[in-house]
Amino acid sequence: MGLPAMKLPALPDDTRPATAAAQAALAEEKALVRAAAHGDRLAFRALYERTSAAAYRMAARIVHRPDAAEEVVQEAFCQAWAGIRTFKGDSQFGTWVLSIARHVALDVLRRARSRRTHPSTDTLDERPSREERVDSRMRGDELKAALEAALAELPEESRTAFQLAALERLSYSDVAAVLGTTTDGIKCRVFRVREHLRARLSRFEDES
Amino acid sequence: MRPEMDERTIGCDEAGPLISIEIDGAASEAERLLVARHLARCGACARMRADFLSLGARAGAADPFAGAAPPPPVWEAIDRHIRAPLRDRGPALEESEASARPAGEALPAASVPAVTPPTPAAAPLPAGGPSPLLLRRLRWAAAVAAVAGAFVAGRWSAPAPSTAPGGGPAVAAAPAVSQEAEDKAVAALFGALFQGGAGGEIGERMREATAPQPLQSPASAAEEKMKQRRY
Repeated sequence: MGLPAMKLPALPDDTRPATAAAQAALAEEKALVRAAAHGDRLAFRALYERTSAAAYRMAARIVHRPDAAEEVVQEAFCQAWAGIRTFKGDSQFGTWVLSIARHVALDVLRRARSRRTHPSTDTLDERPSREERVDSRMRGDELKAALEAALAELPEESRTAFQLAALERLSYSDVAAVLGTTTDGIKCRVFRVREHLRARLSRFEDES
Repeated sequence: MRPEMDERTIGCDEAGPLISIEIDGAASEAERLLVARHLARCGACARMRADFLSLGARAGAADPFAGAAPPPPVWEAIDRHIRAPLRDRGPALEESEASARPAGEALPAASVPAVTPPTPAAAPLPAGGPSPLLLRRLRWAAAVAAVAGAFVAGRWSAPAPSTAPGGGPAVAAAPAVSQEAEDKAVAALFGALFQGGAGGEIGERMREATAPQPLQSPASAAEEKMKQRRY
């Protein structure tokens, strides 16, 4: 005997035609990009206000340090300013900046890894340090520690795809634009991440 | 919706990815219907969907950077960078683009990055004068023409070698004739190149440029070169 028919909750659907408000926001963004390309710093600041928070959070999740994430955002927007005249507008400005920020963050990580051979306290790691994980457990936040550990086991691209889709609520096509891959690839990656996290955190699900 | 979609059902292998897509709000109406139909008869997939939703909420709650934004000094640093004199660092307003922009989108003057004009190494030419590259080429052409003219004029107009009363060679008159011929050659060249207008002034400047320069030590020549490169 089957379960009673389930009515799915209404969720935002990015396959639906864009609403008038979304279209207006897109047109406004294009106008800001055009103005910024002509040297308008105020327009560039408006673009920064719209997109910097998501770029900062994504960078912070990659480099795991707020001060390094600030540097990533600064560098990413300086690069965006330098290259905005070459921005063709095929993608949204936000996904373009996120893509730049991701590359800068990965570069920061790579440089930190190469410095790791030298004794230094100023190193970044792709995953939270052991001390941080232990501290987290000591605070009694086992689930958080387990979640961080489970995420750290994943490749960076899969982790970022999940975080952008599930936490930042970006559409699959936007996530694909940020990561430079296909929408189908993102669908698959996000599903695999969910399966992985579910397997790793099953004991917490049982407790709840 | 196609009629065959109404009847179609999916297995658990297909349902898993579709459930993930549906949670992210990226499923089409047809896919949502397929998921709903499958969940109605599959308890395992219904539990998986509940777990996925719970995981998303927990991941959001455990995210140490949820809701974080860069502090104001980050923008201040970016602003300082983009306000700095542009040496190919950012977009510069070009006259052609500015004139192509619709009137309604005119930029306030303060919003245009200040572009420091390069300091010219030599005295500025009158407006509409030749470019530095052309000037350099003309200097070369003048030098070649002067040498050739002096050579030809010297052969044709210099007096025949004579012997001084003392028996020594008369060498003083020949260079004077050659210099005069050289001046004529240069003047003729620039007269031909610039018929009227700036020809006289530029010809004058060309003569100055081709005039013999005092010898410079290698060090001071290098310094001069560096000075010019800095601009």
